[in-house]
Amino acid sequence: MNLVLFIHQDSSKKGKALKTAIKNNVGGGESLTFQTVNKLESRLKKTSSTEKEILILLAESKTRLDELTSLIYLLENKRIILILPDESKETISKASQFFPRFFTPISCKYDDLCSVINKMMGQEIINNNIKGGDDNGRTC
Amino acid sequence: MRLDKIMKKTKILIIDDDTFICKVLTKRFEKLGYETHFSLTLRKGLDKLFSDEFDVLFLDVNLPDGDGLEAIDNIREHPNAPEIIIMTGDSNPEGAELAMKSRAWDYIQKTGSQKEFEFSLIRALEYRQQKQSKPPKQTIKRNSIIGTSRQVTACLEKISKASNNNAPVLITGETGTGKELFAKAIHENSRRNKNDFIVVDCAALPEHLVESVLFGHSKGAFTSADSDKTGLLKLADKGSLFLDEVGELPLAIQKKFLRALQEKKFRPVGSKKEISSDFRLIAATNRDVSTMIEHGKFREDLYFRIASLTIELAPLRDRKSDIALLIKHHMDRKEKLFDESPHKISNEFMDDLHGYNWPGNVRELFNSIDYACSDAFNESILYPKHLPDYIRSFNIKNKMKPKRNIETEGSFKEESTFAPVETLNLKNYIEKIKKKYITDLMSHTNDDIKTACSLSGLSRGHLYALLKEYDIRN
Repeated sequence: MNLVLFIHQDSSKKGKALKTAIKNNVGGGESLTFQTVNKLESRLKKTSSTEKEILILLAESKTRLDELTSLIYLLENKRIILILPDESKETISKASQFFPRFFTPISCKYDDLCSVINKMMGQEIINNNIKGGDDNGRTC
Repeated sequence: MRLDKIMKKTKILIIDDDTFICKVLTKRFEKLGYETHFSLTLRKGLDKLFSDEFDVLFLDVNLPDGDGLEAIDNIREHPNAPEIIIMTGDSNPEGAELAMKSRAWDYIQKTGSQKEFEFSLIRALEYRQQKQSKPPKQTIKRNSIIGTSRQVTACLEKISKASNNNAPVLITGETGTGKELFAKAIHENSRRNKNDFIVVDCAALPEHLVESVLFGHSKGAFTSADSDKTGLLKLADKGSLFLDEVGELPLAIQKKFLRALQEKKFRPVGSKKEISSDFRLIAATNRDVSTMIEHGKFREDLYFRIASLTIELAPLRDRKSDIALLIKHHMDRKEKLFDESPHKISNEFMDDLHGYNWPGNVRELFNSIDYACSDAFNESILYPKHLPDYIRSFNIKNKMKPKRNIETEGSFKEESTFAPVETLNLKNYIEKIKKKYITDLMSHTNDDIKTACSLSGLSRGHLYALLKEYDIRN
C-alpha cells in the first residue's frame, strides 16, 4: 500500500517535520508528495477511486482545510488521514466530512500518526534509529 | 378491529400433504368467511401462491417434494407476500427457531385445537391490516447505494427503520460490500444528520491508542499526554459514531465501551470526571462475531448491545442483477468527475462480469472496470480481453466445466438424444428433457433468476420449484 502525501509548499517547517517523521517511522510502500492542491486534484482525477493507497493530508491552516474540502468529491472510498490546524468544534466538523480513518492536530508529535499508518499498512513499526538511507519518495 | 372488512378480501392458502387437515381447516376458515384454498405439494402450492395473492399461508414443514421452511425465502419474493404460519406434526424446537428466524408470523402444531388455528389466523390478519394501512414509506436518500435487487431493497428498508430510531446498528458483510456507505446512509436519513458522522477504524488503531482515541485523555494521563484531548465518543455527541471493523476492538476496551454505550457516560483516560455524550452507534464488521464470542475474543454482552438492529449486506455474487446498474453508476461518475471519454460495453464483456464470482465484491467490480477502461484506452468498446487476466481465466475455466461434466457423465446426452425410445417411458424422457432445459437455462443466464424467468416464461415460484425438484443449485 502506497502513501500519497499532501504537504503544501508553504507549510515549511511543519510539512518538513511530517515528511521526516513518515520517512523515519513508516516502513514499506512508496510515497508520493504533492505540494499544491491543483497537483493533488490532477492526481486524484487520474487514479481509480478504489486505488489501495493512504492519503495523508496536512491542513496547516483553516484556509488549507477549506481548499482540501473542495476535493472531497474526489475522495470517496479513499483511506484518509488528516492533520488539522486545531481541534475546534468547527474544524472537527469539517474534518468529519472527509470520513478520515484517523486525525490529529498539527501541534501533536507524529508518533501516534506513524503507528496508525504502520498498522494500516500491516507492517511493523520501524525504529527511526534503524531506518536511514535515501528518501525513496517523489515530489510533485 | 373490523373483522367484516378483513373477511371480504381475505384469502388463505394451506400447503400440507395431509388431506384431512386441509379439508378440516378449509371448512373451518370458510365458515368464518375466508376464501380458502389448499395444495398437497409444495410445488403446486407455490404455483398457486405466485399466480394469485393470499393474505395468510399455512405451510407444512415436511412436504413430499420439499421442506416448507426452505421455501420461505422464495415466498418472500412475492410482491405481496402473505403472512406465514408454519405447521408441523411434531414439536421441533429447532424448526420453531428456524421458522421465527425466517420471520414467519407463527409456528403451530397440527395437534393444536381448531381454536388455536383460528386465533393465530386472526392475529396474523390483524397484523397484516396494520401493515397495509401504514403511511407510504419515507423516501430514503440512497447516496451511492446502487441496486434494485431484492437484497438491496431489503437493506434499504432496514436503513429506513434504523434511521427512525436511536438503537445501535450492526452492519455485517464481506469486504467490499459497502458497509460504510450503508452506515453513512443511516446517519444521513436520521434526525442526527445535522451533526457529525465520526469514523473510528478499529483495524487502523494500534492497541495502545484505542482507549485515548475513543475516550480522550487529560493532560498528564501518560507520558506523551501534554494536553487534554477530546475522544471520538465525545466528538460524536448528538451525531453518529461509526465503529468500523468492530471485531478488532481490543477485549480490554470492550467492557469500558459497553458501559459508555449503555450509560452514555465515560471517563477520559487519566480524568477523575465523567463526561457524557449522546452518540448513536453504528458498527460494522466482516468477521463472524459469534465465532469470536465462542473463542472469547468478543464480549457477548457487547455483541447483544451493538446488534440491536442488524443489517446483513449480500455479497455481489448473490445480487448479480445489480451489476449493470453498478457499472453504469461507476462509469457515469468517471465520465463526470474525471473527464474520461465514455466506453461502451459489449455483451461478451457483460457476460464475463456476470460469470465471475466477485470475492472482493463491489470494490473489486469497480477496480476491474477501471482496469478495463485503462486497458482499452482509446478503444471505445470494452471486450472481455480488457478485463484483468484472473477474471478471464476464471470464466474460461468455468465455461469449460459444465461441458466437461456433460462429456464425462455422458449418459444423459446419450439417453436423451440417442437412447432407444423403448428404454425410456415418456414421463422419464420428458423429465430428463425438462432437467436439461432448466440446467441450460440457468447456465445461459448465469443463474440470474429474473432473466431466466423472462426467457423461459416461467413464474419465479415455478422456476424455484423446478430448481429444487431437479436439485439444480443457483
